[in-house]
Amino acid sequence: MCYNQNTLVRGKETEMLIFQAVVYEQEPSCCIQPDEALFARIAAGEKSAFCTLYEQCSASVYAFALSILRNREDAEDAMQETFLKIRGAAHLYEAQGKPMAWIMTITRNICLMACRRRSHFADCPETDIPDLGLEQISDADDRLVLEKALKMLPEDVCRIIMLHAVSGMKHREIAAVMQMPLSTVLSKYNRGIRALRRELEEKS
Amino acid sequence: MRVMNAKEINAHIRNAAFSAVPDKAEEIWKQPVQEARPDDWYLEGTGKTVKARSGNQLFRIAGVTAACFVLLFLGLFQLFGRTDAVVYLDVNPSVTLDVNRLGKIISADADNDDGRIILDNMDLKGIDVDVAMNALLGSMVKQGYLSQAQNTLLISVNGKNEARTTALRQKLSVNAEQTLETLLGSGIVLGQTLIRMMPQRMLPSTTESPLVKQL
Repeated sequence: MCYNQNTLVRGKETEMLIFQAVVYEQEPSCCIQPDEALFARIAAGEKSAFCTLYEQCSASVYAFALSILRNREDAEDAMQETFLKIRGAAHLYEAQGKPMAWIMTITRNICLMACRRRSHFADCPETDIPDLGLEQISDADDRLVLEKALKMLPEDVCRIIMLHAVSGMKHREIAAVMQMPLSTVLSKYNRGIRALRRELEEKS
Repeated sequence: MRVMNAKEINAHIRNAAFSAVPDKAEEIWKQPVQEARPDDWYLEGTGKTVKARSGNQLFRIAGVTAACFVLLFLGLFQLFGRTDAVVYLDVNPSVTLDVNRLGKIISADADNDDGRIILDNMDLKGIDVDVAMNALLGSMVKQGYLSQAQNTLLISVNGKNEARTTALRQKLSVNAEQTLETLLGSGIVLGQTLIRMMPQRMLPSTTESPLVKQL
């Protein structure tokens, strides 16, 4: 099995929050930056490199896709397509020290295309989310928090929280991927976390 | 469930995502792959757009810089180039002085033939208005328009800002009285302030000047 959570490289980083007035509990987040050399090896057809990249980034891609599409099956399809496209485009990757941003930009493009396809039949993202199909998450608290985030947060806020929480991306990297000003990303992130906390407090 | 902080919320979301993601690496690896081209739709924003955004940012910075220069230019023009008050020195020779906010002469013009004799090709541009007025009074005495018998001077100041215009008129009146006293032994200075939305030229001695009407 390629996927093994224990092999993830986790580090600590401190977010530089320059002009955010209300910042609370900006914790050092999980930082998952895949090795940029992997792309050249994938382009050369090395399967182990692809498996390593998948191990390191699949959860981030999946969570980001889930935050856009709000449907487990669609998110899985989008993740699969994203990694296929990464395989096909690995030779075009230019090392800039931001492999996660490169991957997330491709994920966003693929999800938005899926949305456009879906919009022929229904609204996108799904406004009514009766069942996200996340039963495979064994920990009840983990599942509850993720479901709350997906169900109650606005789409863009949810995307920002997913990118920060799962991918460990810095806010300025998220701002680049989301094509938003840094201040907007920071305020949306803080608003989202506050709303989630309030909702979970009420639940408790 | 106990109350969570942001760190714990993020940790729960992260754990949930890692639990939910399926392992499809093998499956994906087996699928045929089409080699991407740089202009493929799903690569939009991965490299080219970053450069384009940098270009946009440069364009924005250039725009802001240009706007700053325009504002600076307008500010300087407001201070130095724009007429803040018009001063009329009226004996019989009439001279009009355009003055900026700093009290410097922007232009000096004669309003009649005697005024042209008084100015006598004097270049008053950029000079303090009180210095210019002293020079003009000296010229009026020299040319015989002011004497001990005829020692009355009318100073009219036309401006938009009442406080500044009044202060300028008072300063010029005091200055003129001292100059006439030095040159002629004594002098009568009549002063009036005219407030206009735009400091416009009009001859106080020939138009609606209240002081002239009163006299």
